[in-house]
Amino acid sequence: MGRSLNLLSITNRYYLISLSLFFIFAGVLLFYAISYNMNEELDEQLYAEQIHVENAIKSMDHINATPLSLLDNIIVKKTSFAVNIKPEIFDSLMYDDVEKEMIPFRLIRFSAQTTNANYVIVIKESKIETSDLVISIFFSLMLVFGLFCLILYVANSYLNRKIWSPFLETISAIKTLNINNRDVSFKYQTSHIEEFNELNFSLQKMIERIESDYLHMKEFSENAAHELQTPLSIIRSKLESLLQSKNLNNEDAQLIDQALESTVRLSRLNQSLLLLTKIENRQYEQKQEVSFSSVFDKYIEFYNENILENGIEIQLNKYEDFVFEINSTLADLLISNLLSNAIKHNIQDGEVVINIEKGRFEIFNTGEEPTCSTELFFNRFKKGNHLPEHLGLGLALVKEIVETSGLQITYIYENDRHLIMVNKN
Amino acid sequence: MKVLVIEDELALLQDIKKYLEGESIVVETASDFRQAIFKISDFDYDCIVVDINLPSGSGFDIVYELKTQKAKAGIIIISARNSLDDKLKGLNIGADDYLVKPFNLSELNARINSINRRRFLDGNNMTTFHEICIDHTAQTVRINDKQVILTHKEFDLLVYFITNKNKVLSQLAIVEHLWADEIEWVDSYAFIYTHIRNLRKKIQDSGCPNYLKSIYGIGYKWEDH
Repeated sequence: MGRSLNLLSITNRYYLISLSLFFIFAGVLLFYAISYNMNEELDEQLYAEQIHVENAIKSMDHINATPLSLLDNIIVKKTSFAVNIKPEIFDSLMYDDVEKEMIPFRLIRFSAQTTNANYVIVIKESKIETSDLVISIFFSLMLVFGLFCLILYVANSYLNRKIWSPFLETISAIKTLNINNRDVSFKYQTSHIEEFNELNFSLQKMIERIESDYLHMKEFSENAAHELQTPLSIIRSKLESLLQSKNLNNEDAQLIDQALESTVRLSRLNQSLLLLTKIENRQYEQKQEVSFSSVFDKYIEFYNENILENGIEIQLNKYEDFVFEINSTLADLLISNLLSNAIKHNIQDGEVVINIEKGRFEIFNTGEEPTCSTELFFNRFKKGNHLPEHLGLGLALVKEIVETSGLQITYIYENDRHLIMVNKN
Repeated sequence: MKVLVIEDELALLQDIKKYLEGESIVVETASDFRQAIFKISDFDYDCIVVDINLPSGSGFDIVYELKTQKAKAGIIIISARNSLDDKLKGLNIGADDYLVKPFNLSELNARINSINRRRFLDGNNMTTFHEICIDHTAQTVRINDKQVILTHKEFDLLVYFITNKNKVLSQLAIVEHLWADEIEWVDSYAFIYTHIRNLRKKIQDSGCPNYLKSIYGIGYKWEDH
């Protein structure tokens, strides 16, 4: 799709194009019509003058040039023998003494006889009026054209505001619509234009259908997730009972253990997805002021053993506290996930540096170089280099939390360090 | 100890019953709401394990019923719903614990025992296993009448092992017991090994036989010689 224009520009553009074509055509037509009529007029005039001249000289024995040549539009030429040429009308450019330039003339040439002389007479009529007329017609046409466009533009703008306003309102209503938020429903004003009412009505029907589908889907996925837990717990209890069996060899026991592990991963996965869905559905709306500095304290303490176990040096720099209005459960989830990632995807005897500043915090950690773009880690089920048991949902969860809470997250890898930055939008 | 387990999934119910009976607990079962109400009106139990989603009724109502009867039984809710709201609701109306499905049977056993200790052995909250004497209130352990200093996690582990003695406990179950709801650490077995090694060393140094058997590739078993 190319550059899109608004309705007004499009209609104006088409109006202008069609009007220009029309005016060009009308102009040409008018030009020819007027020229033709003017010529006709001139021709009649010329014929009349011819008759007039012929009548005047009929009784003369010869033409005394003086009285006729006073009329400077008559040229009289005496011929030595009788010529009989038919009256002929033609156009020509001639020098005009008054205008002092070459101007178009309409001429008639005919032969005439007095009692004892033969003449060829040419009568000319200036066509300058015709050209002037054509030019003035052209300019008035242009003026009309310009005025027309102006009126069209004004009228269209007005129409756009007036007629299309319910349409624009509908658009802004759709824009603010959030399927998750039932408080903001699709509201529209009935307009006096049938099509818009129909559009709004259909839209409302459609939105209602989407909302109910969405609700069903949400319910379904939640129920499905819950229903899954029951068979999973049965599998787990069966496997655990089997593990207690007396005559079980080591190999079988290991098989059972592996199956057990998978059921655990399955149910954790299920729970994570459920959690993700809940965050997406904005079921954690209750917000309060949370001090990220104390959340970090809490989880560093919480992961203390893992930190010691991996020989990780942790450095917490509190330049200033980052206080933000967020759901406290989500804040806990955010920090615990980021911190556990920084510890888990670290190297033996690595380090984690946390800087908390006003309006933002960042976590640096040593770790293996990522095999793909760091942004991809925010996708669900995208895993790093190793740790196959890892669910691959941690950062997806983090991103979801960050996005629903009005924060921003950046993840980059540079100087052999992973850097996660979270800041206010 | 007498426990009533209310659960509509018979397969799960069977396993719970079998596991707990293996720990010398008397287990009664109910698989629907009506049966459960009858049993709690007619008998006294030390602990009641109740599922929230029952056909023809909610586990919450059973908890209400128990509370109106002023029953002394400890109550553990087991539910597939892992939401904070449900947990808070359960605990607010008087349940003592809330266990999310799927859970380990060893975990359920540990929770039942813990509640039982808290509710009925007031003042004298002790567990004895041969020469090992655990004081749950003071969180201290004496072996052969000598105090052994254990960390919080080691103490927790010891109680867990003794409660589930003679049972194979997978590393997974142990991790889940120690780090209850931490989703992301399921695969980190390395540090339970450290705790177990330290615990084993401290116990053996105090003159105990090695009760804690490693089961290669799977987990551990506390054996009663």
